[in-house]
Amino acid sequence: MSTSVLGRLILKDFYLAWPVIAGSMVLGFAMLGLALFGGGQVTFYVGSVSFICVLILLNVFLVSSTVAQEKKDRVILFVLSLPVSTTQYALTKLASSLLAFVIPFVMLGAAALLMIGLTAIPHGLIPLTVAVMMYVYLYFCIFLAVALAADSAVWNTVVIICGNVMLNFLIAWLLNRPAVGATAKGPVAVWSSEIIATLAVEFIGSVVALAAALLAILRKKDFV
Amino acid sequence: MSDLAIELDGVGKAYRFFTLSEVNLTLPCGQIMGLVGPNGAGKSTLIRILMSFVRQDSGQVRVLGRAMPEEQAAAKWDIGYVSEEMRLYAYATLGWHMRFIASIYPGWDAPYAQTLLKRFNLRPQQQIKSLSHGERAKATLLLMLARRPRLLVLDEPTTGLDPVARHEMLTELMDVLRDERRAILFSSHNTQDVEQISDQITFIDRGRIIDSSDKETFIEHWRRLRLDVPDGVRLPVFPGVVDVAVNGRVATVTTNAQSPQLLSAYTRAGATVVEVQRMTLEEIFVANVMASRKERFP
Repeated sequence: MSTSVLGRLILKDFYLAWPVIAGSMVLGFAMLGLALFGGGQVTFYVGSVSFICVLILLNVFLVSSTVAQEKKDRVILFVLSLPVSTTQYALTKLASSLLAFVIPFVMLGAAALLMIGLTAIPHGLIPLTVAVMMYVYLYFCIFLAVALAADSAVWNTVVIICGNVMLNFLIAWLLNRPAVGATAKGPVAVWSSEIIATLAVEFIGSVVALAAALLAILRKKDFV
Repeated sequence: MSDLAIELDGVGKAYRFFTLSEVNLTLPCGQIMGLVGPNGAGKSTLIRILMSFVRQDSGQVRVLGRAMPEEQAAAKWDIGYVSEEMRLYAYATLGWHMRFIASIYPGWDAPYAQTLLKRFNLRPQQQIKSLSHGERAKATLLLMLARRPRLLVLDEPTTGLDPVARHEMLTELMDVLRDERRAILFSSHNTQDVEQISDQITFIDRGRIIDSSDKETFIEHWRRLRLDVPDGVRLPVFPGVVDVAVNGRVATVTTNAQSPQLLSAYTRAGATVVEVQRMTLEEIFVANVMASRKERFP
């Protein structure tokens, strides 16, 4: 009986997040189209930067609306009055937020890589694109973990600011690596050790953030 | 199955600036308890512990025979909770909320929900954000009542409501009370609301239960006496006298142990009993709180 309640809670979050998911996908594909088929360097930069912005907005809106806002608006009292434990509630939040983010993220990311692969855009951009996409995923995992573990608008804001600023540093740092910057405009994707190390750090960071969120949920005593 | 809807045994919870201490409380099935206390007394904390939204630091909590928070998911099938603070999803409609709850609770009473919709003058197509405070409170009550819970936990549900909405809400609760198997815990700082529907009343102040009894006992035992005290007469101290205020020859005595013997004792001491006043629940509540504070912080 309880499993079906958890399923209902996840579906409910999907239903409520649907406008954000659909909106980000429409915008994401539009920006991708602009970047790849705009015909100029300016449209490529505007489109690709906007594409990354859409992914970040998806992250911020999703976690803010499904986790943080629910606590702030006291809708959490309504949900917690349903036949679920507080831990189950938090776990469904983790699951529904992850699914709601990962589905459009993977679709948009796959589309971006496919488009780069099929068009005249230098294939050397693929490793950089993957590293940036993976960074956005790490950013999402950290934001979700903080929103679930801490009832603090201040901490949420700190994560958003740091997450946005760090992206600029990451891109600048990667482009300044000789093995990355020099090959980014080349015809072949080069998976240098810097790119592999960056991807590894991002992946491990994501796993650690989600594990920390799980641990915090299991140890948490007070939910309102 | 336990005959007690709620059992709290030595329950405590400490925050930085507030402590709920050693709460012992029972509510039998079929009874309605009013939990009365000033703002910040600990009513909501107590109810949140009952609902397992927060975990007690010490003591045992059982709701409908189930240990909390361990068995909270099972217990919540039969608990209906409404709080003044509780909000619904602003951009979803009331109808969506009704379908959502109905999909979870097999016992959802759809005809009763329709009756409540009409009685409360609500429309399922309405978005929650378009509802007034009173309509929102009635919508949450509808979503809770149509589940047909065995225990209703209401945390200040009438706070901020206009008199009409308050009347509608209390009338509906009175209707629910016809089912004698149901238990209700109703917290409020409005003694009128509590007096209207409660069998038992518990006063809470500064994180402690200061008194708990059935309504009739409170009303029968508490009195305010006006005494004429001639010069040179000293009033003796009797058990149950919680306050004595003297103004010239007139002394006003507040007691929670009214009896003919008490009046005779004052007469024997040389005072004349001028008047014996019944006290309202609000007056009893205030006198009780002040007496408790005087005792704890002399």
